Amino acid sequence: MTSTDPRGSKVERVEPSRRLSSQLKQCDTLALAITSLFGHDIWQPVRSGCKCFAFQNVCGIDKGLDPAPEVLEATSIYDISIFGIAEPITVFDDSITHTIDAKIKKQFGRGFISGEGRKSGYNPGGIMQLIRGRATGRHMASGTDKLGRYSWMTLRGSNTKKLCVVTAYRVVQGKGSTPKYRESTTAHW
Amino acid sequence: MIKDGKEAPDPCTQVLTDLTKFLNEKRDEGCGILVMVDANESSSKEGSKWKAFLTNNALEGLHEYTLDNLPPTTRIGSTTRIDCMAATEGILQEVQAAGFRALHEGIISDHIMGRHQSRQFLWRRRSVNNSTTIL
Repeated sequence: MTSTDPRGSKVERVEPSRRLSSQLKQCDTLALAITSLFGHDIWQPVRSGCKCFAFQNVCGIDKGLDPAPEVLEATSIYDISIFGIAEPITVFDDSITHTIDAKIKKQFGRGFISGEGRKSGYNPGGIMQLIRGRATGRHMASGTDKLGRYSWMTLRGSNTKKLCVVTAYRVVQGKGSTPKYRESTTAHW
Repeated sequence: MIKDGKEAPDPCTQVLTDLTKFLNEKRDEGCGILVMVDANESSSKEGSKWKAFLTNNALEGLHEYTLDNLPPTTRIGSTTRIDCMAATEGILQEVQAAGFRALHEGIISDHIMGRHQSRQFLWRRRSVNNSTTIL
């Protein structure tokens, strides 16, 4: 199919293939499906004697002087004790880490984050793990992978039981890009 | 990885290899494991590396274990559930409720939030009345 643009030259218009069109339609249908919640009705308050764990790929958190307000808001609203976050797309230098830790302590009394990724420049992807409230008292150790691919916490329990909570982001293998290009665009190398 | 001398690194697979090594270390320390991952691959896809990772590490999808009705996807533009919470058997048995938030809830993103509530099996002290051994 061709059309004429305002400058008079003919422009070739490429019709999307039938397969691609079908896939887009399927994605639209599926996106509609997740506009309602699935599973148990787990509204606040959390059941007595339980802790709430949550995970979300957030595609970037707010930065600046008041970092991660949406994370703390969600933590508060949904009464989350341990919150794993993928792709905060934030450089977790000492300044931002201390600011978020201070905000958590001010809002919840106890808690902190362990975030990882590049310490300067632009940090695509990344991982952030938040623990707050009484669960903080059970914290034994935490750490992050040197390449910023996963972050972990070990929690102590009675009878020598331990729980290791790992939050990870598995990068997508880019198609058609060179390793050098991929290294420049991802933090997981 | 290129700096470490790998000419053509495969980060997509390497992260699973390194994570397996890490989880084995933690398992040797006696830890139960809970993994929360944006895997960018479906665990239900036959032959997928992510499915093999879960099988090799004796992990099972927490929502698949708990729920009958699952969302068809966890991300706009995707046709499969690529976000996953997986745990070892002992942890799965302590799950009291699990689910996914709707797209408009949680933090604004193209992914939905997965969550669950677990009993505090770790920090619950055994009741004296339940004890059967009297020394």
